[in-house]
Amino acid sequence: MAGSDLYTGTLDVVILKALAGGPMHGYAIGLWIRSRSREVLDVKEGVLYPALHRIERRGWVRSRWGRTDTGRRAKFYELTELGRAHLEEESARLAEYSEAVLSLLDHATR
Amino acid sequence: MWRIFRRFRSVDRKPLPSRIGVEVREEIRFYLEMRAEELRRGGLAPEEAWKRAVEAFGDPEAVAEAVISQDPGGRRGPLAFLDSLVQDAGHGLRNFRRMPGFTATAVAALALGTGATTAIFSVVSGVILRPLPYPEPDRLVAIRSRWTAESGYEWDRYPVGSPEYFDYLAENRSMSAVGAVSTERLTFRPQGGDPRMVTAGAVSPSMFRTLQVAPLLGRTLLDADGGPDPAPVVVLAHDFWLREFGGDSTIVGRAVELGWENQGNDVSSVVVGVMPAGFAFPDPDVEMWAPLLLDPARTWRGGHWFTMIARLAPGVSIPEAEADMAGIMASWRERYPDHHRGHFLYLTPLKDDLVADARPTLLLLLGAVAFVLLIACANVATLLLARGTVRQREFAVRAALGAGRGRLVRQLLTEALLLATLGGVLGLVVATLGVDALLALEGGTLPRGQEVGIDVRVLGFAALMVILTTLASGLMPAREAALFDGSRAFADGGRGVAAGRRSVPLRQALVVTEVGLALVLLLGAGLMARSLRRTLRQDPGFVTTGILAVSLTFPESGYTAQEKVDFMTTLAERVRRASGVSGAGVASRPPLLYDNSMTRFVIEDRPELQPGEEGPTGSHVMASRSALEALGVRAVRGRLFDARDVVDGPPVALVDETMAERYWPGQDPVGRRIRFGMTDSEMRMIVGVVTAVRFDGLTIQAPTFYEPETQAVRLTPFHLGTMTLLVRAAGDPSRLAGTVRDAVRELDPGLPILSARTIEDILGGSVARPRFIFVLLTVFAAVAMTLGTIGVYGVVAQAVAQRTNEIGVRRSLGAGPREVWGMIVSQEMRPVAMGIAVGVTAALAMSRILAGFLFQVSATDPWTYGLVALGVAAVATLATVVPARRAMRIDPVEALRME
Repeated sequence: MAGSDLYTGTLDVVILKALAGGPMHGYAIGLWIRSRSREVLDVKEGVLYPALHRIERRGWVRSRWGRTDTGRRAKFYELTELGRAHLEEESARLAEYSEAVLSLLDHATR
Repeated sequence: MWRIFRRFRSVDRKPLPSRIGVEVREEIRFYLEMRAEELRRGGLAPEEAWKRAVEAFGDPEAVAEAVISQDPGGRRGPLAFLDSLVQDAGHGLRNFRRMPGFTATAVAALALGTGATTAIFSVVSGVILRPLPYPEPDRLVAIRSRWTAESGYEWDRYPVGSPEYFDYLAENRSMSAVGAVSTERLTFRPQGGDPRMVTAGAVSPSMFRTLQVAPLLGRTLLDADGGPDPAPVVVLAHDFWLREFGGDSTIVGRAVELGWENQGNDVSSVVVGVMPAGFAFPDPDVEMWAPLLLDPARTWRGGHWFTMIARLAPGVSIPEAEADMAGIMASWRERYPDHHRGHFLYLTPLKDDLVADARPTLLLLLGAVAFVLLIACANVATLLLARGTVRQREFAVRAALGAGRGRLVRQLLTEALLLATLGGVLGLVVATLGVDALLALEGGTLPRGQEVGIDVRVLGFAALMVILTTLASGLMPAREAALFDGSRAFADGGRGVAAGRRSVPLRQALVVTEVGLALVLLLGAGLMARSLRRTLRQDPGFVTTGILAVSLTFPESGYTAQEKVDFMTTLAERVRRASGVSGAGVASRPPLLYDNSMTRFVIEDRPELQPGEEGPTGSHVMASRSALEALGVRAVRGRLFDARDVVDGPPVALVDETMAERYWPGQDPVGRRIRFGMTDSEMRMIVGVVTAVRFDGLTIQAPTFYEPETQAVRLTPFHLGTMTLLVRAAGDPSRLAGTVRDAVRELDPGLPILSARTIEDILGGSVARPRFIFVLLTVFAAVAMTLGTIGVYGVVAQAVAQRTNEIGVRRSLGAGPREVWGMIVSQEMRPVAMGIAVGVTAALAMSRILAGFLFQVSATDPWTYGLVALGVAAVATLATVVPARRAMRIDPVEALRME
């Protein structure tokens, strides 16, 4: 459990990453994150919504109301160009950062 | 307009009926339904599935609110701010409800602090700050005289005499009106009631013109009422009129029976007017005004018995009036070198003159009470900081939900504001009660006491205090929150070790502040206590227990000087025969009641005084042999008064040891001759030296000389208007008051008793002011020390709680419980020690302020400093040791498992 830091900034990038494959509604985004983070994130799932609205305000995603496959009304989020650019920039930065941390740890434990 | 109204309405409405609110709730409901469905598919019962979905999601309403609150589309600008402020306040109040102990402590501390400060301020405001209740009060001045070293005497705030008044009236070019003011005690004989003494303003009619006050009924005094032969007219004070005449509006023109001490017959005076409520000048206890005898024909400049007030003419400033006065004084010095060498009139703004005596006391107390308020603020800041660490989990959640740093800071400041406001409102209650208690405790020696109250200025001050306490107690915890890193709180499960550590120096700084301030207050109280003890331990040179002093005032009519003394002698003889009385005698005044009775005297065959040389002065007492014996005054050389000292015999005097040492050092004064008073009276032979007394006050070792009552008839008849019977009782002296009153009635049923007090009572009254300061400083110091102790205790308890892990590690590495305890105590005592050092340094720097209030105790008295520092250290140690013991009980295994 220790080390599962979830920076608000990190959550933003994860959401953007989820949306990189196409528009999704909130529940789908949540499912996507849960399935890929091996459920190590000890954060209430509700955190998703303030984050979604925050990044929408920043112009990284846009939203519209639509229908799901089963015909239910839901709000769909879609990545904007700005959001895609931010995602690439941030993932590169995070990769670089985690690589650096990992090599440091590797080096230290050897 | 309508839109604004709607916005305001929506502030109170929950849930917010905005589009965003509806949409967010729909989104969340959709999410929860999908999630529950997912869990149902996993095999859960529908109800259980929904419960788990909500559990995993977190409080849906809180999430919705978090989204709405960050949405800028809903509201913008000041209204959005107001909105979130209301939210913050609501949140804060909910928090307080959850922590009643914390809230009660913080509010109580702030209520005490603001309450005490506001109470003292309202006294300062009413006495010092508020303008006098007359038109254009800044243009009013008091005129008194001053003796400088050149005259041989150094007396400030001395009265003026009538030739000076008339000359100034004729010669000044700066005043539009000048008045003469003094007070007299006179006998009022109500119809069908016992005669009693009242205080009257004896004033020139121009006083009313100078102050520009109009009567409520009738008229004030006219110029024709004054002069060398004053008309028998009086103007009544509002309270007196209500009390004695039930506010009868037909009072004007009616006669009242008044006995004037210096004005010949008892007269029927005609009431010509009634003043409005609240007018009392020059003293608060003045009940009527009558014209002062002012005779332009009296040109002898040696007598001084009243003060002057004046109103600056339009366009004239105080410096211009002072320059004008300087010119007049230069001319008087030329014209009357005998009287005006080293003796001048001078101006003071009237308000300063009225409150001069109280100002240092009040400012001292205001400063002291500000310290209490500061300690209360530091205390609340400590509490808020401690709570901040506990609340880091809450902040982490709110940060994750999108609340910005600014918002969290504002939340904390809003909470501090709520605490300060609650404290302030309660503080006003404390202040309202406190002001009455203060005035009662003070004992009525405060000028303008009747003008003290909670007014707009005081309310404004209280509001300012609320803002200041908010900032003082809330800023540092809020800054802590601003530095707070939400992610870290999640990282270590919300214990917030990292963020908590950062606030350690801050918390210790607060401990230093609290301990330092409390120490300064304790020192002040300690020094006052020592000074008061010293004062009360002074040997006054006479017996203070078992003596009753009964003062009588004689009307001029029906009593010659000889008859007055005979009356007193007869009275003493009768009282002496009563049971429970072991002695009685006649004196001019009771001891310790008047502190300004020094007069000049002349020693025979001494060379003329050189300019700048101080002439001989002493305190003049008339006392019979039996009075001296009752007081326990003994002759150390020569003899006491005896039967030889008859009215026509050679004039005699006694001097006390103080006078003998000062003016006849190494010589025997017995047989020398002196002349006293400023008049050209006869030389008196000194027949004895008596034990030193402090007749004028415990802190004043004034040279004292006595004359016998028998010769006073011839030599100082003008002193015999009021005399005092000193009665020595075998038991409780206050029981003899009835005996004496009956004896007086038997001799003359119409003679009023001015006062009947025991010497112990008078003694208590003579130290009322220092006792007042001492009591208040002690109360302040006790509050300060209590708050400081709570502060230290809280900080240590918190440190132990925060360091549980670390202590666990140390314990598992082999440190014993005592070692851990010792470590905590030694570390937490460091800021206490620093606080003591800071407090002592600050007290030393401020010692000059207190020095003026102390008697025979240095403001840097090492004993007091040492004792107080030790006491503070002891209490602080206790406040550290007790919570630190918790560290000993920490189970290493438990502590580490929490990790």
